[in-house]
Amino acid sequence: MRLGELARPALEIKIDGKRFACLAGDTVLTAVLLAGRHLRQSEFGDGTRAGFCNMGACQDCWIYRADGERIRACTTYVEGGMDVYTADPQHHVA
Amino acid sequence: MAEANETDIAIIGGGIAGVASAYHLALAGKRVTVLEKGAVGAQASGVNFGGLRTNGRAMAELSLSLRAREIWRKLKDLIGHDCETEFTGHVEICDREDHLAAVEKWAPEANAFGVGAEMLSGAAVARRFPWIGRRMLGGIYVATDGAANPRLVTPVFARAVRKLGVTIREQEPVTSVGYHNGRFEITTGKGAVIRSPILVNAAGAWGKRIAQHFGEDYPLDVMAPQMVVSEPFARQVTATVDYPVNGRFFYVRQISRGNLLFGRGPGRADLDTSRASYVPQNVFDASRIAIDILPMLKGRTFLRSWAGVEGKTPDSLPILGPSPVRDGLIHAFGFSGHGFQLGPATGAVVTDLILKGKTATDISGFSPRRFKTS
Amino acid sequence: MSLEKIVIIGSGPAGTRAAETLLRQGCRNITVISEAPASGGQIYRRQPQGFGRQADEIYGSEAEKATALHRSFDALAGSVDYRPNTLVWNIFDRKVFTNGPDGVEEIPFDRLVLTTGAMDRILPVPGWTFPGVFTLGGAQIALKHQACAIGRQVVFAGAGPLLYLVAWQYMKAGAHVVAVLDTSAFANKMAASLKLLALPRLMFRGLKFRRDLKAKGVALHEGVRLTRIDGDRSVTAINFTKSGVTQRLACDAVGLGFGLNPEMQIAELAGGRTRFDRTFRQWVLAHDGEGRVAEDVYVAGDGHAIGGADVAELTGERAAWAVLADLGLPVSAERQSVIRRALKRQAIFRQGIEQSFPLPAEWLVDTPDETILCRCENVTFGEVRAAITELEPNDVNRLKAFARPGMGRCQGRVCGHVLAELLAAETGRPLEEVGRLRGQAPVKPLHYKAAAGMAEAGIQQWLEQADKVLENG
Repeated sequence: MRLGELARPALEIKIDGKRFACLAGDTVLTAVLLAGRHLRQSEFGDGTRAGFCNMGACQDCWIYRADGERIRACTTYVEGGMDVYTADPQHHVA
Repeated sequence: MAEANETDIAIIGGGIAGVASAYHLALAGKRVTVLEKGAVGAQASGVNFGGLRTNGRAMAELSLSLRAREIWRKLKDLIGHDCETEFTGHVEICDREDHLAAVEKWAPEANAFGVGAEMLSGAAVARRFPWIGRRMLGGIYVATDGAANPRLVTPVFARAVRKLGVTIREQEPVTSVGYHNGRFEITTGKGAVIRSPILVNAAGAWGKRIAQHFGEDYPLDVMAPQMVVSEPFARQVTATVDYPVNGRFFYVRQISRGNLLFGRGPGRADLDTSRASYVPQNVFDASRIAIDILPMLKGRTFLRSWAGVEGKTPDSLPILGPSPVRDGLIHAFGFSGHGFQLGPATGAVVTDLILKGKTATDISGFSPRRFKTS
Repeated sequence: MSLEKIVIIGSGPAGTRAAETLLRQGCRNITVISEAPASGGQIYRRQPQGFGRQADEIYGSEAEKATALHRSFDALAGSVDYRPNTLVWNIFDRKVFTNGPDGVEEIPFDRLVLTTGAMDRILPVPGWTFPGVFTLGGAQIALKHQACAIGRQVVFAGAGPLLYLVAWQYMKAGAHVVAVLDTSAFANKMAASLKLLALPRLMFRGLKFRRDLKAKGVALHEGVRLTRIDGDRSVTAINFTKSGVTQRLACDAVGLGFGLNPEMQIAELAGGRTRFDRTFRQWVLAHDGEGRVAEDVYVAGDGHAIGGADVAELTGERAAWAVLADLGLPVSAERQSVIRRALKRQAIFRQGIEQSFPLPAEWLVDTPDETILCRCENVTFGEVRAAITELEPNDVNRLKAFARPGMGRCQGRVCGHVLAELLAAETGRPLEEVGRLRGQAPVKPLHYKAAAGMAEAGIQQWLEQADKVLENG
C-alpha cells in the first residue's frame, strides 16, 4: 500500500490486458502488486509469487512484456502504455 | 592390512566408463576396486550435455553406440533409477548442400548397423519441428535417440555398483602405478596400496598420464565442453537438435521441467587443477545461433554456464582396448566428448575383454595400437 | 598520477569512498559500474526522480551520512567513466563483462575494486513463498524507494538489527506494524551488551527503536520460533511458538530476515579466495587485511564481509589505499591508521550483533519435508534430504547437482547457505566442511538477445549465407 508520494504524474499500464493506473517512478513490481496481490505463477505449479528481495538479487519477479521479453519487475520502472503479462503471452489465451 | 587391498580388478577413474565397467564386472562375480581422485561422475561424465545420440556418429563408433542404446533403454531395471532418461528423438539439421550430402551418404551405412535414421526434406523438418525458426534444406532424424541427466547417471550407477560389493574409493588420486610380480600396484594419495592382476585405465582426460606410467604416450589433448542453461519455460523443443555453424556444432535440448540446455565450444581446461573454464565468446556465438533457430528464445534469459574437462584424441575416437605393452592393462579413455552415451557399453566391452579376451562389439577403430606411443 | 584502468563495481558507500579516494590521489582512468540507476547502494538508496520526501524522512538518523555520500558521488561522477544501470555478470581473462543500456560489453581492467553489497540471509519457514512475504531488506526498499508498505498489517520476523530498524521505519511512515517476532532471546542481547557498547550511538539507537515500537503498541516477542506462514493466494497469518506456547497473528505481509549474506559471486569469478567465518557462521572473502583478495583484485563493503554502511565507507577507502600503494602512489599512513582503529571498534560491535542475533540454524533439521527450500526451482526439504541420504553428496555443489537446489535464477543466493546448513546438520559434519555453492556466470539472468550482440561476425555471415542457399534452392 502507498504511504505517500501521491503527487507524481499518473500513468496507465496494461497488466494481462487490463488497464491499471499507476504513478511515474513506480517499479513494475509496485504497480502490479498494487493492482493485485500477486505477480506471477511459479513455473513448477507451487502457486503464485510476488517477488521477494525487491533489490534485483533473488530473481523471483521476472515477468513478461507483451512481445515475450522478460523483465525483472523490481528493477524496471513503469512507462506509460507498458503492456505486461504475469504469464507467458505466447501461451496466453486471448 | 595389505590383504584388504588385494582385488581382482582395479579401475582408475570413477567416470561413467569406469563405474559401468565395475558394474558389469561385479555382476560377473569379480572383486573390483574403483579409484577416483575426486567424486564419481564429477568431470566430463557429470557436466556434459546428457545427449544419448546414435545419430551422426562416426561409423567406427556405431557398434558400441548401438550396444549402449540397448543398455540405456533398460537403465532403470539395471540401477534402480531412470536418471531422467527420455527418448525424444534427435535431429541434425542441414542448411548447406555439402552437409546434406554428407548425412545422405551416412544414413544408409548407419542404417545397415540398425540405427534407424530417417532422412527429412526441408519441408518435413518444418512440419515435424515447427519450433525451428529457420528453413532448412533437410535433416536426419533418429527417433530412438534421447537424453539423460548426466549429473545423476554416474553417481546412481556408483550406488548400484557399491550394492554389488564393489569398493569405490573417492577423493583418492593415484600417485603411482607399477607392475611387480605379475600384479599391478597402485598407490593412492591417502597412502593406500591396491594390488590387482588386472588394471583398467578409465581416467578420461587423465588417461594419458596413467598410460605414461607404462611407457605408453598417447596423443591426448584436453578439451572443455561448454554448456549453458536457460530459465524454465513451457516445453516446446521436443527433440534434441544438432546444427553445425562454421564447422562447429550447436546442440540444444529442452528438459521436461522446461530448462533449455545448449552447448558449443571450444572451451579451456586445465588437467592440473581439474578445472575447466567457460569462455564467454561461446555464449555470444551460441546465443546468436540460438535465437535464430529457436525464435521463442528472443525475449528470454539464460541462467548459468559451465564447462567440463575431457580428453580428445586426434581422430576423436576413444582409446579402448588392451595395452600393446602390458598384459592385463585395459585402456578405456579419450572419448573426445562422445563418452557419455557410450559409457554403459564401454563397461560391457571392458568386461568382455577381461573375462573372454575378446568382444562381439566392433572396437577395431579404437585400438590403442593405431597411435605410435613410444 | 596514474592512467591504469581501475574498474570499481558498485556505487554504494564502499564504491563511492573507493572512487573518491582514488580520484583525489591522482587516478585518472576510473570506471564505476553499478546495476542501480543511482548511487547510494541499498542502504542509502535514492528515491526515483519526482519523489518529494526529504532525506530525514527516508534515512532517519542516518540522513546526514546518506546525503554526504550522495554528494560525494555526484561530485566525482563527472570525472570517472560512470556506468549506471549496468550489470556485471562475469569476470574472465582480466575483463569485466557487463550488460547495460548499450547491451553487452567487455571492459578490460588493470585493477578491480569489488563492492558488490549483500542480500538478506533467509531461513525458509513453511509458507515463505506466499505473496506478501518479502525480505526485510525488500520491505525497507519498498518504503525508501517506492514510499510503499509491503502490506496493510505487517509482521517483521527473524533476527538482526534490520528487524527493529525496518519495523521502526514502517511505524514512522504510518504503516500498521502488527508485531516484531525476534527469534533471539533477550538474554542473548544482554550477554552481548559489552561488545555492543563499542559503538554506543548504534546501541542506544537500537534501544530507542524498541522503546518507540512498544510505545506505539507494537507487540515485541523475543526468543520465538517461527513455525508457519499461512496463506491462500497471499499471506493471511504467521504462526510462532514462544516458551512452548503456539500463537497465531493475522497479517497480510511478512518481512523476513536473519542478517545478511555477502554477494561474492563476482569476486569468486575474479579469483577471490573465500574463508569460513565461525562468528558470522558464513563464508566471507579472504583478503590480506587491506582488501587484496586476488592479484589486482580488491574488495570492500558488505560484499566482502558483513559490517554495515559505516564499515563499507571505511573499507572502501581502505581498498583504495591498497590500490594506491600497489600503484606506487603516495599513501596516507595516517588515514590508514584511522581506518584501522575505527574498524576495530566496528568489529567488536559486529561480534556483539552476531551474539545478539544468532542464526537459529538448528530449526532446519525439523523443517517439514514439504517446505520449499529452493524457491527458484521449487525443490523441497524432503527432496534435498532424499538426495543426501541416497547419493551421499560430499559437498553442497554435489548436492545441487543431484537435487537442483541453487540451480535456478538466483543461483543459490537465497538458499545456498540453507543447503549447507542442512547438509551439515543431516550428516553431522562441520558447516565449513560441506563448502559453498560456486559462483557461475552469468551471476544474474542474461537475455540471449543481449549476448547475441557480441557474436563473431562469422556467425552472422553463416546465417545470411544459409538464407541465400535456401532462396536459390
